[in-house]
Amino acid sequence: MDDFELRLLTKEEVYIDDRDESKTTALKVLQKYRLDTVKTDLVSLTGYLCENGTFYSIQPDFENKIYYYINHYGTLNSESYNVHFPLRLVLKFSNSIVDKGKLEYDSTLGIYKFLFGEYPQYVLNEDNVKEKNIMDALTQKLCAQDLKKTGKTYCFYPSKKDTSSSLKYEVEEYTYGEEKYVPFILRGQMPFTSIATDENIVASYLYWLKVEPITWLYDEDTDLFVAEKAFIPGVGFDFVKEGVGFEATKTYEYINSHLKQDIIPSRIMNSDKSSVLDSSESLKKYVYKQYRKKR
Amino acid sequence: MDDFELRFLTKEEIYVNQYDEDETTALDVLQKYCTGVAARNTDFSCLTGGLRSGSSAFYYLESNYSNGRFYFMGDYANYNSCDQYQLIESYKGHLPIRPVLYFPNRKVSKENLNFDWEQKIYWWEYGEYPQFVLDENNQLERNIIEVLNQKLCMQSLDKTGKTYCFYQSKKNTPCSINYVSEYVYEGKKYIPLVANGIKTGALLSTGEKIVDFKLYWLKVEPIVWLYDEEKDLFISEHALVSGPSFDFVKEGNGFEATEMYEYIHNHLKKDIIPSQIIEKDKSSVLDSSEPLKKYVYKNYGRRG
Repeated sequence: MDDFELRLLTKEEVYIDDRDESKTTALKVLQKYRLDTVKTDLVSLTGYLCENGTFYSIQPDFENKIYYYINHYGTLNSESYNVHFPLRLVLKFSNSIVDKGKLEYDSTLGIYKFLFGEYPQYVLNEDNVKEKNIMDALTQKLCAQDLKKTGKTYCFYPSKKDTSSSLKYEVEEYTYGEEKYVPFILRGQMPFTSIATDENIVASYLYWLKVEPITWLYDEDTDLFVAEKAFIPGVGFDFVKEGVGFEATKTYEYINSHLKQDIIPSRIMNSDKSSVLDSSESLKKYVYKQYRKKR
Repeated sequence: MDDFELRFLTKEEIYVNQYDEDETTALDVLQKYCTGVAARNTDFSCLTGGLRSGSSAFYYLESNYSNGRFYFMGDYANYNSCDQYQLIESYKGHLPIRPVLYFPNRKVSKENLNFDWEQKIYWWEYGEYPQFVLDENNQLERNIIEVLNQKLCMQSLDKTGKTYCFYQSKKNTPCSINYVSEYVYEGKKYIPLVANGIKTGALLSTGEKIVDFKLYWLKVEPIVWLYDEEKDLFISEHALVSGPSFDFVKEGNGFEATEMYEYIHNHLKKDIIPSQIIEKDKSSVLDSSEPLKKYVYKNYGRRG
């Protein structure tokens, strides 16, 4: 699966000049969709504090030590210090394999959307009877260590309130009833911020995150796909190897060492094979299949 | 460890008349013990539905099943009774079990027991059971919780091979039978338990209210029994577990036909027998040289 790359948006790709439209350089798709977005429950659970909407990091200017981000109003901002905001990824295929026929057109916004890959996103809601039953079954099986693993693990870096550092958190993906889930238990005392179920986050509560397809917004001019949501917890831009550019940062390493693999769907044996990316099949074939399935 | 029996205390064994000592029939050991006939719930008992009011637990006493009355110890160590309807309405249908242990075919040698010089009673550690939760406000225990959580999420904890059986009510559904695996980490045993619909208002030993869907880790600890010399009986220091009902599950109308009897004889009796682990770390266990009173006070102080 080396035929795509993941990166962050650049300053130019998000720059909108409200007074002079001709100076606006933002991607067309973002001009139509707006720059502000939402975070997923995973991002809330891993320690991101913002109550409404989300901030998200874009590519910093390391030469001038400027760390850019978009705030929850969709405005471009910057800081002179390292920020740990969530990540909104950009996806680019090495070959232009996607034609508009495979994209879903959102007529309200006038943009194309695309489903590619999957990631743990929203928690199961105990107030929904069906989801509560799934939670009960998952919990019971987990406590007996009897859940079926898909063989895939996800890697996050949740923030910890009592330390400034982020610790690596690896979690197994499990399959139950042809869906995929990951358990998440908050470490120690955490900030209290709302998740999609309108509940406050509780330490030691056993959350179940559903692994769901990632929605990307397609920019026709540049053939780029921008994640609809900020679905990746931020890891900051500390330098982890020699160099002074983005390639030397923890975020770059995280994207390329973990995220590129983590968004590729796991294979579920003897169950829903249609959602599975077979390593022998081409990306193009997979993209078609994913799109057809979700329609 | 299969030659013992478990039962409830009887009304006579806990009866204390504050005004007339001659009428008091309570077991001698309970008269001497620092909390008297009162006991407290373990956290496992609370998490399986046990009521706690004030500092002492409600717990079942031997009942007269033919007239449908259920006898129990209420809060403030008051003797009480109720019918099936009240039991379900007021007490969610399940109160804690404070077992009495005895050996029908042999006399226990006091040489094997510990003596508390202050209270002048014998006590004993026999068997083990999940009792109190790891406290996330204690740094050391919080670190263990984090490791256990992480390992459980990866399903990479070591099992001892033992499971505990308990009844737990779920929101808007009757009590159902559950099994939980016992795990070992650094020589100590734990069980994970997720609170699920416990609406008794009971506080845990950490002082916290029970939070639905919170994952608790309970330490498997030796059971402390208070020895009554006269009757040759052991009374559990704590109310250990809640949940089973007195519903009839087989033919008959006596205790032997109830879910409670089946639970005590088919599950609890087996569950208190320790699993084998290699290189067991005994440092967490009550030091047998330590006086019981000190141990009890220490525990009460710690547990509030």
